[in-house]
Amino acid sequence: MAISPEIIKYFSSLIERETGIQYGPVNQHLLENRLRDLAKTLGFADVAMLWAEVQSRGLRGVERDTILDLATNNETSFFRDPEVFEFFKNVFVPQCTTPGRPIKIWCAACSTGQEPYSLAMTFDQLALAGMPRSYDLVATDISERVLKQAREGLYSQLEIQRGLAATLLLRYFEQTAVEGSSAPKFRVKPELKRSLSFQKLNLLEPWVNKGPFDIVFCRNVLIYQDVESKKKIISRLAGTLAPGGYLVLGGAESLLGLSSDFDMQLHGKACVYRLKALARASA
Amino acid sequence: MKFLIVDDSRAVHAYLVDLLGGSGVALQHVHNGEEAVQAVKSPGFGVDLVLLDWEMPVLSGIEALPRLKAILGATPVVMMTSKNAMADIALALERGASDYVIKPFTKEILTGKIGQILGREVA
Repeated sequence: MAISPEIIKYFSSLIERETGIQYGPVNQHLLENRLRDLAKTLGFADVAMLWAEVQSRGLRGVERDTILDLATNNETSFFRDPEVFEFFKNVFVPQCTTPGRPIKIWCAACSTGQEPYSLAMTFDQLALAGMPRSYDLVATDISERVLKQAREGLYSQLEIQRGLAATLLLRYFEQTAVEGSSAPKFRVKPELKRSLSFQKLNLLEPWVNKGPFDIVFCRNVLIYQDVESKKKIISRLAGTLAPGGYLVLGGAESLLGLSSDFDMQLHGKACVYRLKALARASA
Repeated sequence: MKFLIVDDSRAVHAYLVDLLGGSGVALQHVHNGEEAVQAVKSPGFGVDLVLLDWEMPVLSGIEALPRLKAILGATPVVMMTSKNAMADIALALERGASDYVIKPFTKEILTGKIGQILGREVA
């Protein structure tokens, strides 16, 4: 059944105001599907019933959070693509030798911070297992809105559950009440932020090279770029990597036809790119 | 694969059938902790994962949890409840839960957690 324009307008305005994500005629069907998921998730028979409830008593905290979470569905989660974190923990960190300095990591599109915090948790888990390593993690994003949340390390009940096991939630987060809402939020403990810095950076504009990095995560950025922009970004990322450094892309992205500076490697299900020995000089 | 769903809400049962019904997972429903204990004690009973509500009549999920774990051994039990205090989560893990899902949850949250626990995707 079609959802009325009035309902669509209400929810699309709310989502744009809160997240910056715009739903228009081109992607309105996505919003309609997500509203149907939302109604189902919250136990309503359909979107009209949800709407009627929201009209009569306003939007409750947990509903608002659920709407925003669904609006940004699959954008980011903790330990997204777990095989990448398996590679990081079991292959990259043990192999990475950086005498006299910490391991240097760049999360080039960190969004609301789940990726850098997942890496910080991985380092802590390694330390608990008797393999402590010092590291320096720079996390950047184009959006000040998402960086604000990343710096705060503050997540809704839904965000915190995406990809994060309860054992890690207990260890690395504390619960915090939100004024005027029955839904609590969860804040990253300060010790997890110790080696992280968050900065605004547009990958397509000139930037100061903060490398050399031992590994750069640039996941789910290239899929939104045209070929020339992809080449430009990859070439510049290569220039920030230490010799033999790794580039990690999103699961649906590849360097095929875009760069010959890297060797592709498969580690379990994780596909990563390693900078060739002579590539950095020409990058 | 077979999951045991322990929840006194018909709406939750219907929601989980909707979420997991197409994944080839067989779902068995019971309505409280005591029914769950009796089910897993029955001869020949086998299950790959238990989804366990907390607040239920007769015997609550948190009371049933250690009894279920004593019978099921390594078979994972995931708490699935609207109780969202850190102390509640800690108590459930202490009593043997493998993970904890706070209601309401989306399909991605539930299938993601189940996938992590079982080491295979559940669509």
